[in-house]
Amino acid sequence: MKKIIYLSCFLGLVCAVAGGALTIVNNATAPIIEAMALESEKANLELIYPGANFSEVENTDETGLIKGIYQAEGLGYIYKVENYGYASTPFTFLIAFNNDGTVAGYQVLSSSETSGFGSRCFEEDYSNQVKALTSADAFPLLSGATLTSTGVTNGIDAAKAHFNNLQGIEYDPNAKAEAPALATGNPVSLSDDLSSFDAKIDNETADGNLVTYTIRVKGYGLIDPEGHAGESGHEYARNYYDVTVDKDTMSITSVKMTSFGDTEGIGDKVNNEEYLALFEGATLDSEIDTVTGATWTSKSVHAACKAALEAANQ
Amino acid sequence: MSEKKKSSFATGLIAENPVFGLYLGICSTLAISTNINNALGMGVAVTFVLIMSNVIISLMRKIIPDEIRIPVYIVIIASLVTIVEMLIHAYAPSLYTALGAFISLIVVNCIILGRAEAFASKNPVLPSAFDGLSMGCGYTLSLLAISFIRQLLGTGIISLSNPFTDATIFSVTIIPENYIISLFTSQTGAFLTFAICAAALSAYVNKQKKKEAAK
Amino acid sequence: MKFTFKPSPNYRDSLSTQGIMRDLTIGLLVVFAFSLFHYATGENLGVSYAIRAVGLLATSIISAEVTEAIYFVITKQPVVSSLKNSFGWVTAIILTLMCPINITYYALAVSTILAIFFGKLVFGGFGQNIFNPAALGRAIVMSSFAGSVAVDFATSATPTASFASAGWEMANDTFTLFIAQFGGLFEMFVGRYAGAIGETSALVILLVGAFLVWRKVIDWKVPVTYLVTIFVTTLLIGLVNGEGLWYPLFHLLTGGVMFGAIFMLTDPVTNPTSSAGRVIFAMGAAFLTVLIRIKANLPEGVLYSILLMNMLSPAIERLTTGNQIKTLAKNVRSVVIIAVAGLVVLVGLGSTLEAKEVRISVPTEDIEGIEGVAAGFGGDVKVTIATDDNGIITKVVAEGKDETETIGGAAIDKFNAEYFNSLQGVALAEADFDALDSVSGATITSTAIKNALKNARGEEVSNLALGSAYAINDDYSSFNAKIDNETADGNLVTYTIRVKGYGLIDPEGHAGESGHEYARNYYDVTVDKDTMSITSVKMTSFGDTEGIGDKVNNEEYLALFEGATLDSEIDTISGATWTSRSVHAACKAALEAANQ
Repeated sequence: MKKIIYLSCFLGLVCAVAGGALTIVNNATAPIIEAMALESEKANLELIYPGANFSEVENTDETGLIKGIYQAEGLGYIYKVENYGYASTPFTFLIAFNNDGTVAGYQVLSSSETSGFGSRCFEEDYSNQVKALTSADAFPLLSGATLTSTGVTNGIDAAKAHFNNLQGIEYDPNAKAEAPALATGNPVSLSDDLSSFDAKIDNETADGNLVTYTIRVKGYGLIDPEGHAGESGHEYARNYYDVTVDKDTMSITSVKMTSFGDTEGIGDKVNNEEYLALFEGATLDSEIDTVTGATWTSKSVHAACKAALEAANQ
Repeated sequence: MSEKKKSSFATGLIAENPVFGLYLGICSTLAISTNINNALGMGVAVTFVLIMSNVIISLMRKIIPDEIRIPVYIVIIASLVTIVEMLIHAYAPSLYTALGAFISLIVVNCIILGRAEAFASKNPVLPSAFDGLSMGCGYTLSLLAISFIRQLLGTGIISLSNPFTDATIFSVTIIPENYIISLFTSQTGAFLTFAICAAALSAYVNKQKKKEAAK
Repeated sequence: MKFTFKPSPNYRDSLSTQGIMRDLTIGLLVVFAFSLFHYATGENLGVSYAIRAVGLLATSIISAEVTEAIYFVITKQPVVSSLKNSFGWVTAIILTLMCPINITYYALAVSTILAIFFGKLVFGGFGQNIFNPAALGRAIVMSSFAGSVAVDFATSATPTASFASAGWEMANDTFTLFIAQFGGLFEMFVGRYAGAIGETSALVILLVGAFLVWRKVIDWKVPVTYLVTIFVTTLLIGLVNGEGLWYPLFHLLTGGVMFGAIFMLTDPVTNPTSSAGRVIFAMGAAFLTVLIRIKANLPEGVLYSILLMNMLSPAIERLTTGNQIKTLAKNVRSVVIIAVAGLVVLVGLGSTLEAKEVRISVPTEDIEGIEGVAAGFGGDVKVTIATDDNGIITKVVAEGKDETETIGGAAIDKFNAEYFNSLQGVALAEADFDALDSVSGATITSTAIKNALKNARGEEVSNLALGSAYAINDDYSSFNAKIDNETADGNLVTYTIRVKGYGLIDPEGHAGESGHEYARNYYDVTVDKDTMSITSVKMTSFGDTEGIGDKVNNEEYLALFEGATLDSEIDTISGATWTSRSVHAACKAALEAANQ
């Protein structure tokens, strides 16, 4: 018994001495190591808080997206985020919060996202949106650059989590920024000449006074005179809709898109419940908006509805 | 005394060369030895740890209870290695990046524990230190031998740079690029080079033994 | 290793190691001779290739013998007799035959030295090695010297590499085009295609193999088991994926399968001694070959499968050793288990193969004939029509390297492979080029080919691909043509007109949908007030899609509008209708203004 106590004490003593030696060396070298890491990052950090005193903060991030956390003394915190968007190589950016929670800076360090699409996440427009927010807000996505902006917002969310935790700010981690509303414009009348869309009724099912027409109609890709297939190399097809007409009121009760044949990422904005709901109650005299940037495909809906209403009228 | 010292130094270097003679510490040898910078850095680190651990253990050899001697050795060796790692990280960062995880792996390098057990725990301080030095030098020399061959045949260039400042001390291209055998920078080449060096050493030692026996 | 593999009692055979190796050497040299013939007479090759092959063989043999000689000197053995009994040249010949023709001499020499030294000598010399030294040498070449090639000796992609990049799977008809690149399966059997120096001719290798079996130099069980197993396995994989008989045949004929089967797997030093052991050895190698081919990124599965099975030989030896009659049942069981397991695993993996998109470039022969050119989508399209003395078309070849690979380029391939066939045997003067099919989705390139054909015949063909005609009097209000300026010069009035084109056309133009920045097109249209017709149209500023709409800005096209009146109908440019119609709109506006 005494032997065991003696052995344990001895071992414990050895460990204590070893631990002591380690602590001494660590105290001597850790600042040097830290300074080295900081030096290499400093150039970037100065973009947000020029001239400040920086120090590195322990990275307790669990998402793996945050590559470095730095405190600017008396000012705020800078987070270096790395994530993947559309490209196969990741992008890195800095997001910084002032001590009061407002966004101090948003700066891209490297990105190979598609120009005109994902790269817009790092351009003025979106940057301004980000810089106007605080750490308690939900950060918006960018329509037309979904993959990249999701990567960006996920990174910012991770930074928010750490920052709010540190500063004790309350926020709702699950709040999602409102999806950008569908931009509509240019109302088009259902009585317009939509013959070039060549709407054809394939099928007709009646259910009391409600008649549903299965219609296939040309869209952006196939529209006369020659469609735009040749000019952009896409493979286009007709758009298919199920349009239900109330014969009593001669108005549309519902429009569903069953098959999409136009430009992905652009025309398919039309295939959106909120938009198609605009056609409910429409008659041959109605004017319905088109979706900005997807006019042709929108008008294919108009054409389908017009064909349905005319057929119901016979 | 100096005669004995000399022969024991030579033993650690050749006949009982830890890598080629005793086949200890091969894993890190094969992984590190792609160029002489790494070889020197690793060799110096191991030699330092060897000497320090041999000295400390030798100093304490009379008071370490027999039952817990292995854990005590390990604590001592591990602490030493961690200190060395921190020092390298702070003062020679490029070496740190090059050697990577293998610095920490010095802890399990059998050479160190083996010598502690076989020599330092039974001998006074000065001979232990000396033994550590000779084993360490033997290790470094064998690393240098392999690295030299691999770097020469695999990249055609022999170069050395200062690990503290990253300045190149010298760099000589001996084999033009078209004639390098890139096999030697890979692990296959490591094994092949190791085999040749070990065989050469073994042949030499055998010849010496025959000469001794004939005397 | 013993050479006797019949169970006791034994009797003395007339074979000797020297005799066996001599026959083997002769067989290898026959294969080498064929490859010399192929190089000397093959297209794009020539005698210089054959000379290089001989040089490479000499280099390898010399390196091997010198290495062994040095070794024997150092180990104090009698040099000449040891060299004779070490058969280093056999390894050298096999290794040379496995390498491509454009390997550098240095690479081959170093690999031979390393192969002989580490593959044979350190183990104790001939008869003691575990690994096939030639295979080891080839592996060294692949890992160290893959980039070390002599630039003057170009080689084209081997069938194995091409097929591997297509994912080891292809639809049946795609394969017909694919294999045409290499001359068809029969040509591959004979051996007239790109590959390693000695691996290509299955025919010659099989003949030599039969000779060697007859002379009892090699055991027939090994190559037969290997080839049959590969055939059955790949046949099943092919059936699962819906491919025809060509699939297993293709596997057999490429990548040194034949060569490895006859010359490397049969090396009695490195394979097991018992018959059952050899069968297991060969089957294992076959399964590994197919596995490595379809699942690993290496087209040459034969090499590594041989090395891996060499490693397992001692284990197989132990499994099947002993009194061969007594252990027959156990051996048969082992064989069956391995066969079934292997097939199941491989067919399962094989069913996961997916064909990858690959552009098959049908080889365009250089034929002599009349040439024609026309503007295609990206650049010029050129056709060559070869006729016989009576003016009957014998062959037509089209090429257009600037066309888009997957659309226009594929269309050209289709014409070369199929559509032109209908022209063969037709008199040149009577051929109806317009009746040729067009490839859908590649209208511009198809039209260009037809125009080139007409051009070859000496017809005037406009380099324009024209499409539907439109009347000037149509409703062009959506083009919103606006006259900015008007200068009169006698009866000629020039109007500076800005008009909307593809980009800005109502309702909202196509700007939003494609992201381009569009602007109006500007024209200077000159009208002769006396005749009320257009005398000239110039485009001064272009605002539509670059590369597409700007075909309109072409003197030849705009010249079509000369003499046009409000009643005229002028063609549009195919594929650039909107921008063309902007010209119509501008002309209409000009004519109407002149009419006031």
